This record gives sequence, C-alpha cells and structure tokens, in this order.
Amino acid sequence: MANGFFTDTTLCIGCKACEVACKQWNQLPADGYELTGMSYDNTAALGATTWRHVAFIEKMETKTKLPMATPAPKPSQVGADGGEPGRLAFLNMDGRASLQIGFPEAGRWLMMSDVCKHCTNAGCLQACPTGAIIRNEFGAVYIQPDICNGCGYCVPSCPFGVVALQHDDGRAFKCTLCYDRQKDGLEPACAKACPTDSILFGELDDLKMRARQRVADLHGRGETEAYLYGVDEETSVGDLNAFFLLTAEPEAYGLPQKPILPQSRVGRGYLACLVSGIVLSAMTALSLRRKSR
Amino acid sequence: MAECHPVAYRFVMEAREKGAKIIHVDPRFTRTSATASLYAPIRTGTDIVFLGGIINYILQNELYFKDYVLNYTNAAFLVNQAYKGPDELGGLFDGYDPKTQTYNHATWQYEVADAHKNGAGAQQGQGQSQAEAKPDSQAAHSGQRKGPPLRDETLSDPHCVFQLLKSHFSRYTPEMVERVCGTPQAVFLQVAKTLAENSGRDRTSALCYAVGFTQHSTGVQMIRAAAILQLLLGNIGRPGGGVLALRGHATIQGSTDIPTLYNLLPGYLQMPSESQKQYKLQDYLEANYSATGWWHNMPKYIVSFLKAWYGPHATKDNDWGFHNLPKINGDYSYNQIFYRMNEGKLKGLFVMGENFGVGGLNARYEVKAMQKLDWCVVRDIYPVEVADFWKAEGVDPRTIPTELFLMPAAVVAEKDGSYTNTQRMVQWHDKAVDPPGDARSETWFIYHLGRRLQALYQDSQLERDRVIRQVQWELPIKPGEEELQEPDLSQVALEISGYNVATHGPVAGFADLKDDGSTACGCWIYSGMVAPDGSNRAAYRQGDPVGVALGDPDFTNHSGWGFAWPANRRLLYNRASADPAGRPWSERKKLVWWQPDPQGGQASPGEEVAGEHHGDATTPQHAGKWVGYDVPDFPLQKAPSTPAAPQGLGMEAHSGADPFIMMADGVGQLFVPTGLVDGPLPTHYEALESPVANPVYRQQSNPAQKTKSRPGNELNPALSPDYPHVVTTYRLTEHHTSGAMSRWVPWLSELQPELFAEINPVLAAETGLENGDWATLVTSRGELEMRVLVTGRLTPLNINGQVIHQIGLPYHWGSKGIVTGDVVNNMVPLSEESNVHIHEAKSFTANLRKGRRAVPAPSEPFSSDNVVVARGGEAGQLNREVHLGTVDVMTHVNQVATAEPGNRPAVQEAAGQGRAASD
Amino acid sequence: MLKLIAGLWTTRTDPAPKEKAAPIPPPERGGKRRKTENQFTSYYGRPVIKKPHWVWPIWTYFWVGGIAGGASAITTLVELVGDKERDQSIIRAGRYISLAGMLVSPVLLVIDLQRPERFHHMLRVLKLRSPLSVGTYILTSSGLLTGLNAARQTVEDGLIPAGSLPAKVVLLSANRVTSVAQGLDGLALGSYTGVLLSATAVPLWAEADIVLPPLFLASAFSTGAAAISLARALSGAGHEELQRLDRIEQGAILAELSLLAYGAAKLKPAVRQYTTSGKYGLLFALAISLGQILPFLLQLFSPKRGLYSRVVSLLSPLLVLTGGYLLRVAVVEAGKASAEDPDAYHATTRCRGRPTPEEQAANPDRAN
Ligand SMILES: Nc1nc2c(c(=O)[nH]1)N[C@H]1C(S)=C(S)[C@@H](COP(=O)(O)OP(=O)(O)OC[C@H]3O[C@@H](n4cnc5c(=O)[nH]c(N)nc54)[C@H](O)[C@@H]3O)O[C@H]1N2
Ligand SMILES: Nc1nc2c(c(=O)[nH]1)N[C@H]1C(S)=C(S)[C@@H](COP(=O)(O)OP(=O)(O)OC[C@H]3O[C@@H](n4cnc5c(=O)[nH]c(N)nc54)[C@H](O)[C@@H]3O)O[C@H]1N2
Ligand code: SF4
Ligand code: SF4
Ligand code: SF4
Ligand code: SF4
Ligand code: SF4
Ligand SMILES: [Mo]
Repeated sequence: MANGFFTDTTLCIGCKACEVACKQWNQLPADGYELTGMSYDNTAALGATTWRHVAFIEKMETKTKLPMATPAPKPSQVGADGGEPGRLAFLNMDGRASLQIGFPEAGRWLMMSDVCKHCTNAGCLQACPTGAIIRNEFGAVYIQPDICNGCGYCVPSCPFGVVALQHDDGRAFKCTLCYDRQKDGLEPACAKACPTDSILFGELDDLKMRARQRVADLHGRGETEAYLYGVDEETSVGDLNAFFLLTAEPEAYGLPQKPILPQSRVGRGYLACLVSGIVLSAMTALSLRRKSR
Repeated sequence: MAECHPVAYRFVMEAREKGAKIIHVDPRFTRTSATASLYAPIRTGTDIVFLGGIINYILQNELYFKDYVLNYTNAAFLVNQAYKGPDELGGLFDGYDPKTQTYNHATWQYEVADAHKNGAGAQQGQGQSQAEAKPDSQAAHSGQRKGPPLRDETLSDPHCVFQLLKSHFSRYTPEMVERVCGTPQAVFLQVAKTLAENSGRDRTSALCYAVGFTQHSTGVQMIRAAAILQLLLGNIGRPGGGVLALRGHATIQGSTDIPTLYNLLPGYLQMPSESQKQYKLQDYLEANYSATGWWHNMPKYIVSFLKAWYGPHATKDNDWGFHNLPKINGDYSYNQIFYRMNEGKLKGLFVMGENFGVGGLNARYEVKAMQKLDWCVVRDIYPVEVADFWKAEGVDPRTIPTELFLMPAAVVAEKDGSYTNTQRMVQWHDKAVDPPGDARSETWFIYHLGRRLQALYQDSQLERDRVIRQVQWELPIKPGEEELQEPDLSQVALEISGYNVATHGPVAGFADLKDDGSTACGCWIYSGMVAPDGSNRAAYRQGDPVGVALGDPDFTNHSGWGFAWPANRRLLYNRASADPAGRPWSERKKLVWWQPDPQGGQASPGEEVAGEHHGDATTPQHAGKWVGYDVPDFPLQKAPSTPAAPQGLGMEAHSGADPFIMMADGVGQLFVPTGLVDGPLPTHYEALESPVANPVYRQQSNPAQKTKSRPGNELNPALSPDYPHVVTTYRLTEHHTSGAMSRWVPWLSELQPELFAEINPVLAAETGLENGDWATLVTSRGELEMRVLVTGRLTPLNINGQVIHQIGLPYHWGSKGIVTGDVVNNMVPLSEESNVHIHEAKSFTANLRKGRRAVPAPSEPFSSDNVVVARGGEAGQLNREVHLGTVDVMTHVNQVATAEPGNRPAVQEAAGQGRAASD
Repeated sequence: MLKLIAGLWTTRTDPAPKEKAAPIPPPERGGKRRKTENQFTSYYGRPVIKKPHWVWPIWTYFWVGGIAGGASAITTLVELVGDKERDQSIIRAGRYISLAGMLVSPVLLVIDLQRPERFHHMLRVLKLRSPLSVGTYILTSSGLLTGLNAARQTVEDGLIPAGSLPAKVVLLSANRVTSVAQGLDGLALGSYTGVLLSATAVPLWAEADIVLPPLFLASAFSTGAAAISLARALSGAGHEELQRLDRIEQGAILAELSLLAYGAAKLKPAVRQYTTSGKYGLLFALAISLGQILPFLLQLFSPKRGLYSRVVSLLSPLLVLTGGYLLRVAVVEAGKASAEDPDAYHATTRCRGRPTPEEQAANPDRAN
C-alpha cells in the first residue's frame, strides 16, 4: 500500500494552514522574519525547517482597458517592454501619451502548496550512502534521523530541491509524510488542516483516479490549462507520490518541466570511468614503454 | 472571505465546484478574487453606487422577483405624499436640520388607514438619537395600534415604495457606476446579469459582506442596499439566499446577542432611556413595544430577563426590579469613551481581551487618553501594546498617574465556553488544559469580582448600592475545579436559556416565557438552548440525518449540530421560501411549506421540533401545519390563507402570507420609515476623507455624520491635494487583528513578518518606489513607515476623469511580539457612522513618499533565539513561558520510530520530552 | 577579513537556512519571464534545486584523492610495464605518495560530514547506484591496499627489519596481486568523483556527465605523475627519469584539454556560461592555462640540464598540482553556482515530451 498526496492547486486559497500545521505538528522552528517581496510568500522555499511551502504566483492578465489621460510615468519605470499584454501600455493617441489601465479581472493569482514528492525513483534515497533514507511501509521516502550523518549528498540529488541540511543540527530533513501520524492511523497534519481539500491524502491508485477525473472535469468546464504534474508522465523519477494539478507551466511554480533522476546517469558515468581508465592506462603504459626502449 | 474566513470559505469552494458562480467585489485583487469566478474592482466606499447600479438594472429591466416583491416586501405601501428624496434635495432627504445634523422622519412614514398616522409619525421623528431607535408602528402598550399601511397592488402609484425606489435608483446607471466606483461597465454589467440570472423561483444568490461594507460613514446604508437588492431578487428567507454578515472575532455574534454594547440588553432589548424618562417598566414598554408582529411579545422577554438578573428581588410589586437597570443619559459609544477619558472625565477602565493600542482607531489618541486614567485593569494573555500605554513612544512613565493592574487571562482552550458564529449557531467548547499560573477565565474573574463587591456592600443601606446587593450572583463551582474555584458554566447556560422559577427546570423555548414572573430567561433569543432534559444543545455534535430522512440526500441543515438561535432555526424568515399559498417556490428551492393535512404527509423534522411551537395563542386553529427541512419561522399552525386583522395586535396583525414576523408589518422593508437616522433609502455619499467630489449628488459626505476634527484627531479635508491617495486597511490570513494572537507566534510571524503597503505599479513609478522599498504614508494624524509590495493586483482607477490610486494597508503590526512594525491605526481617524457609530477604517486619504519616516521606529524587533515571553505566574505578573528558539525537530519522530523497531534500525537518541501522543 | 576567511574555510552548511531574496523587482516587471507568451520561466528567479554544502574539504579531497589514485595507477603501471630496476625509485615514491593521500582523504571526508561522529554509518550499506557509497568502499579498499603495498615498500626500504614477523606478514600478503588491485582501485578513486558529481541534479555536473569522470581521472594522472615527479626532482632524480613522468603528465594534460573542450561544446548555453564567463570562467581559465598549458609548454621546451631545467623540473609539477586543485575548485564552485540558477536547471530539464493538458484530459481513466 502506498499513500500520497494529490494537491489540486485550483482549490488552494493560499491560507498556509498546511504550512503552519506541518510546522506545529513537527515542532519546526521559524525560518526567520524577513519580507521577501515575493507576493505573499515570505518563507520562500522548502527547506530543512519548512516541509510544506505555499507558493504565490501573480499572473495578472487583463482584458478590459480604460483609456485615460494621465501624466505618463517614465517608460523605464513601468516595464521597459511597454507593459505586459493587457497590463500597462503606452499608446500614442492624438499625439499624446496616454496610459491604458487594465483591470485584473482576468488575472490569476496562483497558489500552490509544495511538498516532498516522495518520488517512485527518489534521487535522495538512491544517493544516500548511509541508508538513512528508506521507503517506509506507507510508500513514503523517509529519512531516519538516527542514521543520517549529514553527508549532504541527498541535497543536490533531489531534482526538486526539497531535502536540505539543517544548519545547526547537521542532518538532512524533509517531509516525513507524517510517518508518526500515519502510524497512528491519522491523516498527515497538512492535509488535515487544509480547509478546501486542496491537499488530498489517500491511497495512490485512488488519488490518481480522482485526479484524472478532475482534469477531465476541468477541461469539460473550459479550464483547459489544467494538467497533472507527476503522474502519467514519462520521467525517470517515475510517478510522484505527491503529485499536483497545475494550471501554469511548471517553471512558474519552481518545478522542473521534466525532472530527471540523477542516478539515471550513474551507469554512463561508471562506463566513462572504465573507458577512461583503460585509455589513460594504455596511454601511460605506452609512454612508459616508449621511454624504456 | 478566503482571507478572513478561510474555513467557511471551503463551502464557497465546494459550491463553486458544484457550478456556483463566485463574484468578488473589492478594491484589491485578493485570495478571494483569485478563487472567484468573477472579480470586479471598486473604489472604497462606493458600494452603494455599485449595489444601487444593480438595483437600477434589475428594476429597469424588470428582472425582480415579482410575486415575492409584491407579497413579501413593502413595495406596494404608500408613503407620505410630502416625502422628498435626494433627487430633489441635492442629496438630502426631507426633514433635515443642518444645525443638529439630524432628520425629522415625519414625511418618511407610510400612509395608514386611520387617523393616528401623523401624530405617531411626527412624534417618532423628533430628536431621536439612534440609541433610542424603536421598532416602528409602536403605540401605547394599552392595546391600540395604527391601521395597516395603504397599498397599491399595481405598484404604479408614484408614492408607493416601488416607484420611489425606482426613481431613487434611476441615477445609478452603469455609466455612473463606472464613473464613481471605477468598475468598468462591462464588468459591472456582467455582475448584474449574473446575479439577476441566478435569482428567482429556481435559483437563489447569497450576498456576503464583512467590514469592507461596515467600516464606512455610509456602512449601514451599504448593507441596506444589499438587503434591498436581495429582497428584489427574492433572496431572503430562502435556502442559498440572504445577506450574510461574516462575523469577526470567534463569537462576535454572541457578543452582539448578549451584548457588550452600551445601548442594548441581551436579545436586542433596548436599554432604558433617561432622556425619555423611562423610570417605570410601563414607560419602557410604551416606548419599545411593538403593537404588531412578534415584538408584541417583548414584555414577556423583559420581565423574564429581569427575573433572571434579580431573582427574588424582581417582583410584580417592585416593577420586576426595573429600577435596578441603568438608564442611558447620553452617547457612551466607543469613541465617546476615549473623548471623555481624554477630558479626564473617565477615571477607570477594564480592558478585557482587546488591544486597541493596535486595533483601535487613531490608536495613538486612545493610548494617550489612557494616560489620564486613575486606574486601569488589563486582562490579556500577553503583555500587549495596550498595556504599555504608560511607556509608549515619548512618554515619561513618571508623569503617568494611572495604577495599572495586569491580569493574566486563560485562553480559549483553558476554559469552557461557547461560540456563536455567523449563522447564529452556538457551539459549546470544553476546557482542554488548566491555565498556567494565575491565569484565570473571564467568568472566574467577573464572578469572584462580583462576589467580593457584594460582600463589601452587603451591609450598605444606601439606595445606590441596592443594585449590587440585589443582583443574582450565585454560581455553583464546577465539579473538579474546587481548587481554582472556577464557576460552573452550565448554570450560566441554563440562565441564558431560561428556566421555570418554581422548578428551576429549563423552559422549552421563548414561547414558554411569561410576563408574570414565573419564568426567568437571560436572553430570550437563546431560549431553548438547554433542552428540557437539561442537556446543552450547543454541545450537540450529531451528523445530520434530516435530508436523508426526507429522501433528499443533498439537503442538509445540520440541525443536530450545535444550537442556532432562535429555536434552533437555521434560516431566519424561512416562511419566505414558500409562496403566499404555502407551496415551495420551486422544487429545487423548497425548505418549509404548508402541509394542509398532517396525516397524509410524510414524517418531517418539522414535527420533531413541534415542541418549539410558535403558535400565538390567538392564531386560529387549522388542521394543517408548517413543515419542512428547517424549523419553520412562523406560527406552526397559521394557515397561509389566514387574513390579517386590521386592528389585531401582535401576530394577528399579520396575515398567513406575511413571512417577516419580527417586522411590524410582516414584510421586508425596501424603504425604511423608522430606525435609520440617515435616510429611508441608501444614498451615495463620499467618505469623510475623500479626494473625489461626490459625482452623484451635491451633498459631499453623509449629512447625518457628526465627526469633527479635534485636537489629536485631525481630519484630512475632503478633496485636499495634499492627501491625493485613498487608503484602505484590511486583514491578512496570516495574522489576527491587533496581532496579539499571531505576532507572538513564530510560525505565523514568519509568514508575514513586516508591515507593508500594497500599491499599483503606476503609483510606484510615480513615487519612485521599487518592490520592497521603504515608504512613508502621510496624513494629518502623522506619519507611518512601511515596505511596499508593488503589485498588479491593485490598479489605478479612472474616477470621473481623475486618476485615483488606492493604497492597501494590513493593520496587524505594533511594538510588541516577535515581529513588530508601525501601528497603521495611528493614521486612521476616529469617526462615527451615524447609526451605529462605526469608524471609517476602510477609506481615508493620505500621501505617499519614498523613504522611511524621520523618527526611526522606537521598538527593536525581537531576536528569535532568546525570546521568553511571559504569561501567567504571580498575580499581576505575566509570565507564561513560550520559548521561541529552535526546537529539536526530530525528538518525536524518533520516538515514533522507536515504537516500531522491527522496521528500522533501532534508535538510540530519542529522549527529551516529546509531545503527548494524542492528536 | 578574518571572518571572511573563516567563512570560506568553514565546513558547516550555510548559517542562514534559506536566503531570502533581497527586495526583488515586482513579478510583473521581473526579468524572468518570457514576454511573448506571458510565461513565467522561474519562481521569482529562485533556485529550483539546492546546491550541496561542499566547500574546501571536498575539493581538497577530490584533489588529494586524485593524486593518490593517479599515483597508485601509475605506480602499478610502472611495476607492470616499466623497468623494475630503473623505475624502482618511481615505484617507491608512488607508493608513499599514495599512502600520504590515503591518510589525508578520509580525514577530509569526515571533516566534511555535518555529523562526523557518524562517519561509520557510511559502511552500513553498499549502494551501487550511489557513487558516494561506492566511493566509500573504493576509498576503504584503496586505503587498505595502499597501506599494505606501502608497508611492503617500508620493508623493502629496510625500515622494518627484514626478518621480523611483521615484515614476513607484509611480504606474504602484499604482492603483485595487491599491487594490481591498488592500481585498479586508484583508477576508480581518480574517476568515481566525477560520477559522484554528475549523479546529482546540479546542471553543470549533470550536463557534463560523461566528461567529468575521464576529466577527473586524467587530472588524477597528471597530478599523480606531477606529485611523483616533484618528489623525485626534490631528491635529485635525473632528467631521463623525470622526462618519463613528464610524458605521462603530458598525455594526461592533452586528454584533459580535449575533454574540457568537448565538455564546453556539449553544454547548453545556459549552463556553459558557468565555465566560460564570470568568476568561474576565470577560475577555469586559470586552471587550464596555469595548470595545464603552461607546464605542458615548459616541459616541451625544457633543456636537458642546467639551472633552467632544474627550475622547470620543480616548477612544472607544482603548476600541474596547482592546476589540478584549481580545476577541482572550479568544477565544484561553478557547479554550485549553476545549481542556484533556475534558468540553467530548467535548461537541463526542459523537454518536448510532456503531454499537453488536452492530451491528459483526453484520457482520464487510463490505467496506472
Ligand atoms: N485571518 C484573519 N481572519 C479574520 C480576522 C483577522 O484578523 N485575521 N479578523 C476577524 C474579524 S475581527 C473580522 S471583523 C473579520 C473581517 O473580515 P473582512 O471584512 O473580510 O476583513 P478585511 O480584510 O478588514 O476587509 C475585507 C475586504 O474589504 C475590502 N474593502 C475595503 N473597502 C471596501 C469597500 O469600500 N468596498 C468593498 N466591497 N470592499 C472593500 C478590503 O480590500 C478587504 O479585502 O475577519 C475575521 N477573520
Ligand atoms: N484600520 C483598521 N482598524 C481596525 C479594523 C480594520 O479593518 N482596519 N478592524 C476592526 C475590527 S473589525 C476589530 S474586531 C478590531 C479588533 O481589535 P482588537 O479587539 O483590539 O484586537 P485583538 O487582537 O483581536 O484583541 C484581542 C485581545 O484579546 C487577547 N485575548 C485572546 N484570548 C483571550 C482570552 O481568552 N481572554 C482575554 N482576556 N484576552 C484574550 C489577545 O491577546 C488580544 O490582545 O480591530 C478594529 N480595527
Ligand atoms: S522530491 Fe526529492 S526529497 Fe522528495 S523523495 Fe523525491 S528526490 Fe527525495
Ligand atoms: S545527508 Fe543524511 S540523509 Fe542525506 S544522503 Fe547523507 S546520510 Fe543520507
Ligand atoms: S505530511 Fe506531515 S511532514 Fe509532510 S508536509 Fe504534511 S504535515 Fe509536514
Ligand atoms: S491549507 Fe490548503 S488551501 Fe490552504 S494553502 Fe495549504 S493547500 Fe492551500
Ligand atoms: S481561525 Fe478559527 S474562526 Fe477563523 S477561520 Fe480559522 S477556524 Fe475559522
Ligand atoms: Mo471584527
């Protein structure tokens, strides 16, 4: 049995309850108190002490424009590109600069609650030299904190930038898929807290079925930009046990378009070692031979 | 709503997924807009124009729900021929006295069938302050009443409400909406169309608002406009309809029902008035009792209430102890407290669970006023900003005479109690843990304070001390809490719900209350909360079989969950969900209906609640009765065909087709003759501080609005070029109001660590600001510094040819806690809406400039590593420990891992205090 | 300044758990957006993946391990194909140098661990798909073999009395087989670090997946040979002997140069910039010119004897060794920088293969 998350970003209201519930349940400290300027996201990224992270993406496209005469700001100040489509544009009407002001009624403010993907083929797990990272009985990729020795190799081996070393502890941390709660038959804290069920926790086959149906429904409603990220895709990381329904390109959410399992390069690498070993040895042997003669 | 009511918003999202259209009208594109189907930008304070525009659209295109409007509203009522409206008077209504800034309501009255009309109307209109506003149609308690209003069933008489409405709103055209609100016509029309299409027999729309409507000098009238719209569309008293106030603090509804307001007694009974010389119960009843409608029962409620408060000291002979109630002799609303305090007229103050050092309007003024107090008690869970008034910015503590008592309070999980939510649903909560140290519940504090006072005064023979001696102040101690001496709240619940004086057994409901002293009830609308078997229905947690039992699995009203006043009724005025003949308007929207033959029909929950009968003794008996999915809000056996008795009293005055039983006339009021001090119809006025000249009428701002500039509370002049921008303040999901409950929590503080202003890119460019820069906001109250978030979610507006920039300011920061910042409310003026005295925090003016303010912020932000926050502990000394340092993240995970050693290598390092295993 | 240096030389992870973006341009003006389609190409320009915490212990280990591996391989090759008598001194130097390297390497690695006391957890498992795990065993076995063979050398050198029991044990257990094994292990040790890097998500390393192992091995050969050559030069070896070592270096340097050229050509532009421009470009240029081209030319045009020849015989291995070090620093640091660049990362993961939303929707009840 494998459990996981289906995070449907079209239901997310950006309340961050998941982020707080995770920190509270897992008793994680705050990361610091700084305004980032990144919309309403001030925790910035997943990390050793932030295992759920809600991303905010302002895609403010507009349809309606109201022409109005106004002292035109310097072009450099309002996007040298002349403004985003439908946003702010300088139009030369009757020889005088006028500002078109649009309304964000067609705007989208995307919110997405990110988490460890608990990949089928997990880069972190495969990389871990101590065996600290295991796949547990719930199908989750789990770091055993008593094993981890802080080698840090899992960190660059995660194609999603999830796992991180905690600076004052030295070990690697990430979402445990609430291993402790699952043991007690409880749903993970984040999913439990989510008021809109944007985060669905459950048995993966079931979740995938629901997710596919959901995409079909959304398309039926004309929301054709919806798609599933992390299932039904040909990637070397395999299906993600925490997968997402997105409505914009993955890059906007800080996700790779096509994640690649770092270890898929290992075979090639060993081969390169072998070949280069032979070649360099041969070259060296030859040069030794030549000289000795 | 997604921002401030995220848990309730889940139902909105569910509805959206089922096909509902969500429309969001807001100056800013918020998390709600992001999840809505349609977003309309608006300039703050112009909702009357927006809603008026929709009303006009509906009236002009005949899209209103005709049968509903004709039968269930006062559309057909004829109004005094002398009435003149703002169209003719440049924005004023008839009867305005510029000297007192008040209206005489004489010409706002209905034409009635008999001759009492003029006298009654004129008398009411004179010099009433809103504190003494009364239900209309009242007459002497002696049993007379005015005749019923005259009607024009064709709705064509120029003096009928419908025609008045039509002409009043005719200037609120889509063009006007665009000019005043800045909302593009196309967007506005789409909103109007969507709303109209989604209303009628088969469909209903709900209108939700919160303080985006209320916090304006025209706030009450905005809500009125919403009510008119919903009445026209037939969206009141029907499932899925309504004008829903999304309430604020967790039980702010409860604190309105059992009010913390100076001019109300529990259950919306008026406070006796000194100016009207209501020294005897009879005087009080004469003034407040309604001859017609349900309020006719008011004497039973006030007598039962007096019985609850004064017990044996309330007898028929001593006027039920009425003399013990205070009589209002003036305006004691919120702002007045601080004006008086500032003048040194108010000597002592209890601050219990409020932090107006941040949340209060013109907080600086309020905090300064506190420095004049002789004594002050602050009961809070942290040493919050308001408790720091004696060492605020630039204050020498040695010059402050105030004696300050800090009392540590128990938080919600540390005490029993109840919440009343937006839906009027009372939900009980039990104490989970003991409060730390000397922290105690509110009940404990008030109860023991009262007991000590009674002990102090028990031998006093002075007349003025009688109140203290006679008040019923005995509560049993909660079993198991003998050590803390915590009172047993179940007794309070019983007193609120009402009991039989003789047996001390619970009454079944407010229909059982009597005016002969045999019943006691602390708050009549909550009557029945304690069930006849003594169980507390607010604590009920049953899933809801109602819909299923009716073979309609989609329908559920959760009537087994909590207790919704009145009478566990989930939808007020639900008689309106059926047509005048008692049949549901449509199968899809049926809720309660008339069942002519009770034997023939299916079992219904209506029967189950028959105990909560509302039958008026005088209601003619029929074989049929009202049934449905909800507790019918109507006399259960009053047939739809019952005619109104022209001279009948109470419910007799209503016909079987008059759903609005609390209204004197039994119908919804499109036009309000009495009860509002600033006009019978909503009219657009600009905010007190506005950079825009009122494009709708000559009158610039609300004429009944009395706020004046005063030292320390200077107003920015309207249209002042020095303050060209509009500022609106609001909340973020991540924080709670003054931040006292969120800025002390690291997990919430990191989510929104700093005060910021949201500004649009054009304003940013004009001011030379980049995202994240420091900026200073300037008003006549002073300066405020914050960072800026430059965002396309805000947009400049074209208002009547003028470019208006709106600045968004969340107001959660102050000088204490983990994250700190300037107090936004130092910028907001104290002002009073004329009906309910609310401030205008949603719309004021300011200038914006680049850079920080001259004086650097006095407070140093805390460092997260070494914060130990104090609370609890020695009396008066707050010292509850909250360690904000780094927590060993893995402690509990390790423990769990150990629990199952078979699966993984054994764990050695667990140890430490893990969290209790419970969820 | 002290703080700066101290900062440079810390082995701890960043003290700031997560860098917050300093005030950044508002999203609507952000440069990280493809204008034409109103598409976002990153999340506020923030890194998608996390860079490793590796600093000096790691690149130093890569260098020292490379030298040890290279020296081992060369020593074994000399043993196998060289002139036993004549090359005895090379073998001897090779064995001691490998030993020195093998003594330092584990220390560096343990220093790098954020929980050094748990270093032995590395030996709990062997995971073939984890080059770090494989490397642990390579290092361990190398250590044993190198130690053994070096011990034999000490016996041969008479440092341990020939007849003693330890000497007997050593002579019995260290033989041609262990020597060949050490050589093979040396090859592995010199090259596996390339796999270790390329088996991460770091764009530069990932893109250079088949370049890094040979590059590191070639560098291991050049630096290994240089280390022996330096040792020999210092103990006054003759020109001919040094020249034999030079030949090995030159072959390796040629291999390095061609691999670097191939690698740079193969990289996607968004990634390549980390090797050709900016400070990492400079570092690479320095490593190549100072550590490869310059010694190569010096050796080519060095006379057979005389002061100049002596200077070259000391200078050129020093340059090669420095170059090898700089190369490791450049590869590690440029890689880390590329990891922080979302554009570089996305360039490595962009694909045409993603099903369009429409395609996904068309097939809702596809089996798993
Ligand atoms: N997370 C969180 N939830 C809360 C609270 C909290 O502090 N934090 N506080 C609770 C309390 S006490 C209350 S009273 C409620 C308040 O709940 P809300 O009323 O939802 O709260 P606000 O954010 O103050 O204001 C709502 C919106 O009104 C908009 N607005 C401003 N002026 C106008 C206007 O003229 N017209 C229109 N249509 N909109 C306007 C603002 O832009 C803002 O988005 O929330 C409660 N819930
Ligand atoms: N500019 C601007 N100003 C506003 C508003 C706005 O929209 N804009 N909104 C207004 C509104 S709607 C509101 S409701 C007010 C809110 O303003 P306040 O009521 O002043 O703010 P809170 O932070 O809710 O204050 C509650 C206090 O109670 C304490 N507390 C919590 N639990 C308990 C308890 O169990 N017992 C006791 N004794 N204390 C407890 C908390 O620590 C906190 O100090 O702000 C108003 N001010
Ligand atoms: S997302 Fe990263 S950390 Fe999570 S399982 Fe996959 S590779 Fe590991
Ligand atoms: S840091 Fe810990 S979890 Fe990550 S790879 Fe190293 S040992 Fe494994
Ligand atoms: S599953 Fe648990 S650990 Fe993972 S993000 Fe959710 S709450 Fe945090
Ligand atoms: S709790 Fe749910 S709705 Fe709220 S931010 Fe997280 S995923 Fe979104
Ligand atoms: S804080 Fe409480 S009242 Fe407010 S949304 Fe959350 S659950 Fe509801
Ligand atoms: Mo509120």
